[in-house]
Amino acid sequence: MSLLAELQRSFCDGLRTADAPDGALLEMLQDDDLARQRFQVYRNNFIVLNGDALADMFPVVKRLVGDEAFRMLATAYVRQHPPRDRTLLLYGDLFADFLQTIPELSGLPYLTDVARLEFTWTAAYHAADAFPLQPDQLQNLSEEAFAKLQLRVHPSLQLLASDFPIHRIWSVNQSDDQDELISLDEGACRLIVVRPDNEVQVRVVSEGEFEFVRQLMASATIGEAFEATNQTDPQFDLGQFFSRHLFDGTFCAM
Amino acid sequence: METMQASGRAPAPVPIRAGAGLKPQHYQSVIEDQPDIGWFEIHPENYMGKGGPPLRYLEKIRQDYPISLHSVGTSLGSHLPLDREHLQQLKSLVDRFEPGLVSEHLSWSHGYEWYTHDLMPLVYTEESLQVMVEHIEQVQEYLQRQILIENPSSYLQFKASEMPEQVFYVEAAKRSGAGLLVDVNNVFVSCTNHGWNIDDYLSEIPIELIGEIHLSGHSVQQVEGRTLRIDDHGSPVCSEVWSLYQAFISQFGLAPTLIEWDSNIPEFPQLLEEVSSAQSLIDAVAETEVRNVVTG
Amino acid sequence: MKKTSTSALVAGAITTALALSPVGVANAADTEKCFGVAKAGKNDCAAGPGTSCAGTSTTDAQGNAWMLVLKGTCEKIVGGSLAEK
Repeated sequence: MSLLAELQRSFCDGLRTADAPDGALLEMLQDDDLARQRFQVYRNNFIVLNGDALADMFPVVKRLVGDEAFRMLATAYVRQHPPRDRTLLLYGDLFADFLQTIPELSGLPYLTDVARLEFTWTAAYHAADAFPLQPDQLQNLSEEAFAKLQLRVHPSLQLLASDFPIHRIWSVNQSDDQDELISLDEGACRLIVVRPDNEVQVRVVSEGEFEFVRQLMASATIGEAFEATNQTDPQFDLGQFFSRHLFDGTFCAM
Repeated sequence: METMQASGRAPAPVPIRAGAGLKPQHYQSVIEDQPDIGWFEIHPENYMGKGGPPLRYLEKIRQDYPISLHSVGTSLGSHLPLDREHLQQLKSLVDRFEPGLVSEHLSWSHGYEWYTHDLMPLVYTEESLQVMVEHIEQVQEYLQRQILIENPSSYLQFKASEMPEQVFYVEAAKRSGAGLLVDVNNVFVSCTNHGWNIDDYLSEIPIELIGEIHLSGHSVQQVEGRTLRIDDHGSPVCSEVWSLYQAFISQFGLAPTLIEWDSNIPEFPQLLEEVSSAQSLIDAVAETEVRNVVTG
Repeated sequence: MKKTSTSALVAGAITTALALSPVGVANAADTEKCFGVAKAGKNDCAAGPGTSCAGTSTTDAQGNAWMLVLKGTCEKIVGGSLAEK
């Protein structure tokens, strides 16, 4: 192995380990009695900069567990899952799963889903733009043709279901001064996260709306999706759903 | 700012004026107030999403200002090959936003299959130099343009280094045909951290290669009775660095000069003040140069 | 029979939506000023802010063994399975 490769790998090992850096690495540094501390600056930067990116991605998780606990979790995550992308825009894709593995968090069963919602929000924020479906694209179709249409959902759109009232938890924890009591007895929620234009929207939806969009995303035609949805939620009101969302950017141009 | 291109955009070339690092916290101020700043610099990695607000803000601001792309993710000094996908993303930003300048660091951030997202120090050997030169050439060829290379702030040195940083730095640019982005704060930080002589460092730099200058604040920490300067871009430029900058532009001539402020980000007016301070020094040197021409 | 009723229902829903839709919906690209939340960019070339001092300490404060103390707004979340704790 070349000296450059050896040195860079050894440097990376030293950045990532929670233990003291390897003696062989310190041997490669000019020794003015401060070699260890000098290397520690890089170790710290690696943990702090990537940990800050997580804090930015998961502000609600941070509020829920507190700053100190979040910093510890972030540090452990950075070491376990160092960034795989050239950018930090979507760093933290495995954070929700990671939280599930931490025994001390077992008393906060909703935390993983809250983290998923926060990641989904940022993913929608950076997702591709798309022109919304326009009324004139549907104007000249026959009644028969409507049911056979395949609608394209906006590229930012994602579905999220949780057994916990994560939308309430997420909403009231948007600022630091949250002091509302939330009961987990409020129960499950289903969400659609989408950025039709500039603003990311987190919508609480019914079982039927959720299922209908899920079917459309799986390439069902409107007719097929509607029929499948009726099986799970006979209350689903297609007229109301389309009146609100057919042309609001939830769907994009065909 | 007054002269628009046919595309309805400010011209591409970055003027020999003071500019500022563009922070999302300041988007609204910049769009609404149209401050009298020569240009803005961005990190392309923050605009590599597929879409969304960041690209729209940048599109809007680019209408009124020239911009410079200052990359942090290329990892030019890495033993691993350059990442094709990252280069493509960089190229598409270059094509879309027509930056006046494109730059990267004399550094690496890719040692395994993961990224440090922090600028790591190089060992200054002939081997690293060849890697560096090869990677700069690949980027320049891919982008079809010259890039500038910035000297790093560093906190440690490797025993195996065969030459001083400034020799490595200038040689990398000369062999690859790149230009230099001289970060005056980094020169100060590294020289004081390692006990190098600042004049020796600067004496290696060929005037004709300088394409841009960076200025920023750093923090000072005591470690076991010794001072270590940390390049955190979180405060105003310190007086020593202002003096060094003034001496530098008097000796080497003027270049577009950027104020970087990336942590403890201030309200926009305070950033503007720093930019004005740099602009005043630029104006003073420009005036002297004019006088010298007239009387000379 | 089922097929007809589905396509009639779908057609009805879309016709209603068409009737309600405003003429000339503004496109994303047309919006002039507000581009939504300006989320902080995360990549930069600065060293870790402020907290770097922790980095220069000789011992790593946080090694493999760590203890989480939860001190956040999770205290405000009650009921459900938490009651069993």
